[in-house]
Amino acid sequence: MLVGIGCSNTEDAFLSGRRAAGQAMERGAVSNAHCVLAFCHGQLNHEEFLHGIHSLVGNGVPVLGGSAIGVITNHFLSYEGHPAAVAVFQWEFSCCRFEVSEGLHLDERRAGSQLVRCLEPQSTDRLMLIFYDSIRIPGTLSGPPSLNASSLVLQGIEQLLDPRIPVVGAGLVGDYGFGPVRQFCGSRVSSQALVGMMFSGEIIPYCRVMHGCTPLDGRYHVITAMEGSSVFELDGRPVVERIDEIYGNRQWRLQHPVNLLALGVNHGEKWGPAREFDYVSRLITGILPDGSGISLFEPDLLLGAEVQFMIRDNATMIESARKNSQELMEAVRRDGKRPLFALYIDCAGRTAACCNAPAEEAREVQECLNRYGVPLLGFYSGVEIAPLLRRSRGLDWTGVLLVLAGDEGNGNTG
Amino acid sequence: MATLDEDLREEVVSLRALVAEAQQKAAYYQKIAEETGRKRLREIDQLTALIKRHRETERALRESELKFRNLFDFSPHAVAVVDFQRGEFLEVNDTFCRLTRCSRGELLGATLEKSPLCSAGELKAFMLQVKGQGPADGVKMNMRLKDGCVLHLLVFSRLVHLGERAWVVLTLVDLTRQQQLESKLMDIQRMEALGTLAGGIAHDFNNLLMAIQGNVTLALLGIGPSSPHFKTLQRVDNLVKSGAKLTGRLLGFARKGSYEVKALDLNQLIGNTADAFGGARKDIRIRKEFSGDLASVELDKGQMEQVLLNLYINAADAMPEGGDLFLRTSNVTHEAMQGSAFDPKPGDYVMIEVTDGGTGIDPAIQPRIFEPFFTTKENGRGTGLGLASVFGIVKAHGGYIDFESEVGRGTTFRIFLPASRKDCGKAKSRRKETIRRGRGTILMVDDEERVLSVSVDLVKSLGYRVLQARGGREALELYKESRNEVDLVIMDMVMPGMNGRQTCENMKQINPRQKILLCSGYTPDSMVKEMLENGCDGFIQKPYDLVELSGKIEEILKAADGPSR
Repeated sequence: MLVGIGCSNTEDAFLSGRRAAGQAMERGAVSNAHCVLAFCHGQLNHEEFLHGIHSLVGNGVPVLGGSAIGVITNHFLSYEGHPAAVAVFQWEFSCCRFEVSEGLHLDERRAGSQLVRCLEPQSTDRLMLIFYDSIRIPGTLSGPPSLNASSLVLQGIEQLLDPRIPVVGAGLVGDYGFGPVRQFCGSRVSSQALVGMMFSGEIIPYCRVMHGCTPLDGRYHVITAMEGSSVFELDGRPVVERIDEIYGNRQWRLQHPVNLLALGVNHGEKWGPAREFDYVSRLITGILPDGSGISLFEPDLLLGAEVQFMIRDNATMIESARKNSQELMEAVRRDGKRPLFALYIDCAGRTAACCNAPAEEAREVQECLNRYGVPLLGFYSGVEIAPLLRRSRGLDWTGVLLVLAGDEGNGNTG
Repeated sequence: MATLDEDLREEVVSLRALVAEAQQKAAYYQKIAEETGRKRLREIDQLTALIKRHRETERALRESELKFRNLFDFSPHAVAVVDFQRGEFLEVNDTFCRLTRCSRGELLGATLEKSPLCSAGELKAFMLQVKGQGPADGVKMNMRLKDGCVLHLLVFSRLVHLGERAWVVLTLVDLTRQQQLESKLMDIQRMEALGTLAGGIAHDFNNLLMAIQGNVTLALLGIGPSSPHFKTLQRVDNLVKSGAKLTGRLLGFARKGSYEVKALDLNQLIGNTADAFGGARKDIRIRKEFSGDLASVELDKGQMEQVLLNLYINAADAMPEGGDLFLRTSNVTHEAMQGSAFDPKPGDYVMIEVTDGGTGIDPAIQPRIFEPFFTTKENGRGTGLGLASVFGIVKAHGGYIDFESEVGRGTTFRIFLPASRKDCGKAKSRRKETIRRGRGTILMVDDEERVLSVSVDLVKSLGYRVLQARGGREALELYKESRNEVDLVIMDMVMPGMNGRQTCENMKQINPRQKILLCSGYTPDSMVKEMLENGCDGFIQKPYDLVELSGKIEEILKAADGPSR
């Protein structure tokens, strides 16, 4: 497999697409492109960007991806201006197929199962990569956005997909204002879609989740009142009062999402040492307009569930990115495989500008992959999807690093 | 059994105590964990807030840097920042590089002494002055550049301290072009004053010549060719005509000469004059580059021929060994004329360019070349009225003239004349050369006694009956009494009290069909043109001869609409 990565940051969408694709083909020594992964800022004209890519790789080559708040490549990281990045693939044997399921906003579960049905799973399938439109209704000045739920999408997928096949992916968001998302669906641009790529054959996926949340005080709380993604009470007390006590003030009520606090579910040993990979955290999008409770990014927590308050800690986040990317690459090496391509799906809340971190945590991923000479394409997303604790889950405030590897002698290091 | 029960009871009590203690410890550690968690949250909160402030400060700094960088880079004035202690250029903007004709690379890091600026010493003196006397605000200074050009500058300087370092910010405002324009403007104003003076003198002189010529004509009519004084009087008559030509050129400079304005094809006019000139000066090769679609221009053909011939002669004189004379014409707009000393009225213009490869004009005398009687030619070869009349004629046509000259390389004169939309007309028939006698009554009006006297005699000699008035009011009174007798009024324009225009208007109110011939030592300015358009019948410029006068009178009286009474 040959892979080349290109990037651009210009308002001229056609030029941006053409430039990024040209760079990718040159760097990857790709002469006959078979597939393109592409991500660009929500403000960029996606149709023109797609035309720009097609003008170089050819109109018949499928382009998949869509809006992203920012992009990451081996030597480029930006979420300001009009950033865009692409990966152009050329494979010797067909190892990937793709399908698009529309109408996500009408029924996430149905879209998920329909996608799997269209992809017609086979015994040689190794990985399912999905990109979906996170924004059901864009945010406005008067109200927050309504989001499509990853948990429901995954439920739909799980109905028909072999549980041994990992699902990795992202809920796309094009800008911090939660504006409309545009998706690249092969040869066209669409919205409210679920795009799936099925990798099969000799491709071996390696995946790691970079965390950053740690338990606040180790105390467990039981959700005693909730509805959908809104939580009203913990341990029979209003959750808003609890958070007021934790902060010691009410400033957090002005934050959307809440800066430092999240809710987490420990899937590991209850009283054992806290391990980051045992936790699934949910960001708090903010206090409900009537002050009766808080809203979470996903509606997958259940009444009676035991949760802990988690701190979003920048130092832990950066350390987690460094440690996990290094461990993943060591695992690839240990298995005697050759890393061919890396995809980094990074939560947009983890940018240094957004969480006021002293440095970009994605730099740790860049540095690690550059040390190993692996072509890297990354983007900032709304929701990350990765296997965690024996099943694929929608995650918040994480980075998901996926490395596609093959046997030694297969592919390039463009 | 009782012992066993007691033992069990004791154990239960003990266990309960242990549980209570464990619960207390759990509550205690829970409290500690909560406090630790909250403390950690606050610390992280404070740290992120600190980082946020730092980031905002950085962004504000970047924006400020960008703002001031743009102000510095795009300033229309030359700005340089110089290290005060070492005298090194630390920053220069694009304007500074353009002004000093040095690259940024040549200046940055170089000390004032070692920089390519020839007047670095003066700049350094300014820096020292800043330290000793405070900021310099608009001090004038001349700076010589490496190519020898001298810039006239206004210098502003400020000492800026940053920690232990001191910088001087030098701002140079280039006054060179402004001073050149001011100088040209002053020249133009001087020329205007000279023109007024010259015009006044020429007018009075023409009246004198009119009186002399009239009397000579009358004397010649009286004595006949056999008289021993006939030839002497003819010589006087010829000398008077030469004098009239001289005053004509003076009036040309003063823009008060005689004009007969018509739409003309300038290419044809220039071509004809150039061919005529080229025939006489075989050593001058004339190169014509004429615009094919040149707009017509409304002008006096004779005056424009004078302009062109003057320029050709000057060009040829500048090339004593012969050479090329380039004549170009083109259509331009007022925008293309921006940056000149003059401020052109908006509109389309026709440009005439006359370029020689001659000796050029010494910069020292350039400001004076349009002055009347200023000449560099040897005694007897030039009157000093050639370029002066060119200037005056061009201005009188609503045009502009400018020139560029470099010693040893040649001179280019550029004339800009307002373009006309009128078609070029055909030339009028030649004037009649014989004295035309006639009959009728003519009212002669002139405030100058000697002119009136001789004019009356001249008109009488043509066979007309003459009434005479020494001013406007007298003429009007006389006209009221004798309006039914007067076939034609010959009216001087410039008179004290009621002038020619007012008198004519009053007469026209009495008799709108009254025929009037206007007459002046000046001529058709805008006022005369307006009067001609509003019913006056002709114009004659003093000094006139009997042939010209008789022709004009006959032409008006025989006009299609018949007598005015």
